[in-house]
Amino acid sequence: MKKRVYLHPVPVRIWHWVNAISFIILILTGLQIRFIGKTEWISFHTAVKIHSVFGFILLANYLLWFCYYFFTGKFFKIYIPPFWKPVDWISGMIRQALYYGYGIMVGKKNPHHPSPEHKFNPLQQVAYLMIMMVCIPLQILTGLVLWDPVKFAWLGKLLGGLQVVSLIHTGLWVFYGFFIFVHIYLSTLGHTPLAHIIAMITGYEEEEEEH
Amino acid sequence: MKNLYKNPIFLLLLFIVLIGGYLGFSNDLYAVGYSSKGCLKCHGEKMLPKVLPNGEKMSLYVNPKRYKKSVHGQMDCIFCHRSLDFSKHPRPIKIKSKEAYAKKVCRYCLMCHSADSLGFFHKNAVKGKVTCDVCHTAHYIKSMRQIAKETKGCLKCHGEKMLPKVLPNGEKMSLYVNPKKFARTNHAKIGCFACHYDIYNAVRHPVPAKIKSKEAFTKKIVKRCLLCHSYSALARYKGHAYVIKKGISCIKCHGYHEKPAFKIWKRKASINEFCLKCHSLALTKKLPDGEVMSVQVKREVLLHSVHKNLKCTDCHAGFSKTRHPIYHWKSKEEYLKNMAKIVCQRCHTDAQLKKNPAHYQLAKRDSCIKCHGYHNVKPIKAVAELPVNEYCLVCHRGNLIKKMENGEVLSVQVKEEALLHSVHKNLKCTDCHKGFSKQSHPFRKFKSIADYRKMATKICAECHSKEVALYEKGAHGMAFASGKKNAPNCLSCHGYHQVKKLATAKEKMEICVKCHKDAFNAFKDSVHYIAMKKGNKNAPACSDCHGAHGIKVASVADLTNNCLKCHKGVEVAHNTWLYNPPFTLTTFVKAHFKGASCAVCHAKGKKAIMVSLVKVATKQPIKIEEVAKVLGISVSAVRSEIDKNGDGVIQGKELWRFLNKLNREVKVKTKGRLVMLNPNDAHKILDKTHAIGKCSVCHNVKANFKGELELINDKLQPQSFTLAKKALNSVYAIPTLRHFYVLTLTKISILDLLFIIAVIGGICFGLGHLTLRILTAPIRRKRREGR
Repeated sequence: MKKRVYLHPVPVRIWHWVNAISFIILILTGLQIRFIGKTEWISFHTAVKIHSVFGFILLANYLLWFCYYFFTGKFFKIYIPPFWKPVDWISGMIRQALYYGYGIMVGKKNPHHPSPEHKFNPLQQVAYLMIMMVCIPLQILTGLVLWDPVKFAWLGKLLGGLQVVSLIHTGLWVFYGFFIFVHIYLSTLGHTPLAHIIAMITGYEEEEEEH
Repeated sequence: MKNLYKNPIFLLLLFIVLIGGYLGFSNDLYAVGYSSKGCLKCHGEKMLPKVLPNGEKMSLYVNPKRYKKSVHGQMDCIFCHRSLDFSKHPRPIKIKSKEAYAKKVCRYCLMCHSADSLGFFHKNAVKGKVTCDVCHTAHYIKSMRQIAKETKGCLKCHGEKMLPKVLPNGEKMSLYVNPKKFARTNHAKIGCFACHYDIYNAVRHPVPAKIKSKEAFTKKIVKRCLLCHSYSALARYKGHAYVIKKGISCIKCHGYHEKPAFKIWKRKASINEFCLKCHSLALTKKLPDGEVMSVQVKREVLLHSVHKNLKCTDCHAGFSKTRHPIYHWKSKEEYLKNMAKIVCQRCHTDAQLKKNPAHYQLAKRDSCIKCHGYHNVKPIKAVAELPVNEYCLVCHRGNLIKKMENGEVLSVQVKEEALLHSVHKNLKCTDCHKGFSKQSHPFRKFKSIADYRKMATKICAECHSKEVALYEKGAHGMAFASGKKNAPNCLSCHGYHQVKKLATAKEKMEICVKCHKDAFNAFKDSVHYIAMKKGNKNAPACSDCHGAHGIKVASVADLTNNCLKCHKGVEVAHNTWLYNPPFTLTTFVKAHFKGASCAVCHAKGKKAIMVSLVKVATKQPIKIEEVAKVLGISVSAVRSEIDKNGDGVIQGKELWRFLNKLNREVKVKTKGRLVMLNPNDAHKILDKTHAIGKCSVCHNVKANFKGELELINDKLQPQSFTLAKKALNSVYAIPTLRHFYVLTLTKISILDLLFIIAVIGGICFGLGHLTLRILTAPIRRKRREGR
């Protein structure tokens, strides 16, 4: 028997797909901006234009996510790991890591069973918390500084100078280059390869019921 | 042969020949029966004049009564008119002109009145230059007694004081001649007739003669002087010849009617009177260099000078009533100098002059005459009463110099004309030159001209404190303070005494061009210069971009802001294409203005990324000397300190290591900007249609921009160190160039590699995990099957 869990409400799904498209476009246009002179599949000017526009889409999208999760209070339940119970939290993460590294190979059951309140396993929880609260905000802020170094000069100064801002922005771009493939691969680790992806479209995650 | 005279036949023949000859001659004269009586029968009647071929009318009338009274009254006409062919007379004879006929007749005068018997004043007549009739008339010749008698007759009227004759131009002309005084003159013997022969010969006198003006009459009479006083005799003295040539009237010196004979006057006159006789006239002397110098001495000027009691010859040694040497100096300047040397310094000796060192120095360098005048030598008292500026200029308008301790020589001459055209024309000299007055003239010592000019800047600062403060902080001021020899100060641009406000762009530019010729040559290609040439009043001069007083070195100057002073609204204009989507903010334009000079896009030439070092504390560029000092090395070792491997190019690591070391001693930060590789190219601002409008020219990994580290030295000369291209793209650029980043151009290259690794890593992670899952699929299947 399979049970259906409503994991992804509409705002989250909209946010996710907008975010995904923006990410891909930003990574690609970022790539063009950095390699202008070596490759030019679109002009530098167009690449900058697209990059800037999608940067703001990403920002607006992030605000949508932020408002949704914070105003509904779901953020704390879903994203904050139980660091006040460190033993449970760390053992949970180890268990989850062991599952991905070993259990999944030998057919063990996933120790985490998603529910609307506990959508993420302990590893996801840490990773997404970092991404949503550190990586994306930093990417947006450094992006803003690079977008207009005079208007956001104060921010640039705060972050340690334009070179540092650029380093953060590009460093995160490197990270996303890695993350996006891992993320896509991990999304295929549902009970079927498309289970998680379909869930992000329909909102419902199918899970085999344990007896 | 001796016996010939004793031969009676010879003697007879001789007698016959002599008698025959005499009778033959007598026949010629009298045989025809012509005598004065006979001639006057016709010529004593008033008849129409003979018209000569040249159009002249020649009167043939002779007044018989007057002729009879003349000294030749008893002589027959044919005595003088010998050339007439009486056999044909009265048939008209051919006469070319009156003068030609007079000359013909005068030849016969000299047959009786031999040249030796005539006085020296007849020289012209002897030479045939003047015909006798001009003075003596043709037919009514007077004896000396008659002349004396008739002169008495003239003086009967003219010896009485009567009302002056009023001429048509209103002048009053006295006709009075003092008979006693006239009798003492040289001309008393020859009487009035010698000069006034036209009046004398006129039958109508005393019917008033027509006289237009005194000057015209004088000219007419003076011409007659030369009839007797031949020019060659008068020109024996060069000066006299010059006076005649100049047309100075004889009577100006020699007087008329009453002046005693010149010889007597010459003997009696004082030397000054003697000299002034000629030199009071408007005489000039032409010098070999073409200059014309006045040699006139005004009597009243001389009388007011301190030398009024001196004789002319006291100064002009070698001159006397009989000697008049000529100075052969080439120019006025030479004339003044030598005259001062041989004239003034004979009395005013070195010992006397040395009492006032400035005066002594001046006397040695310049002519006394320049200050003290020629003949109007001023007393010191008169100088002291002058207003302060004139007082100073008495000496300082001369070619004065000041010697510095290092041997440099500075002119302290003040050109009055320059002063009068300066903006300081209403100031007193003492307003700037503090401590100086009519009573006090301190003699200060300065090491060098630069040392002296330092003081000048302080003087200017008393009124222009704001400008001087800016100057001192500027490139020129700093270079000057560091002792750079050619560094300008206030005087260099505004002048010493011809202080001027540099009003027009052209004026301003001309000042800068004196030193910055290369910059000007580049500027000539710019739109700014073209606008200036077209007379556009808004066209900028150098100071409009670089500042007038607070001139900054290009590496620290915010030249873009100076462009924006004139080019208002360019941020909005640039924003039409240079914007940050999805918004259009002028701050984005500002970001570009901040990171690149306007010239980078608007001028033609190679671009560079220029990195300069600025002290955090003062925000001023650190000088290479300071770097050397804090690192405890010599200035020449700074280059090797930065470029450790000595390859001539600064690598990223080398720069990072150097800055770390330097920062331990003094806090500095790097400042980066896109600039023109050759600073002069920045002056070649082109028309905006030629400006760069493509972002990828700069934002391009392949942009060939040279990297340069620039340090200035004490003389504010930039010292460049080539930065390796990779230095700006290496990880070392992150700490070293923290505040400078040009998208793509200064990207950290290693991050590109990391991105590729990350992408490959991400893909490999998935593929690896998937592979493991595929490989372990049998295990899972067995487990599901419960095996």
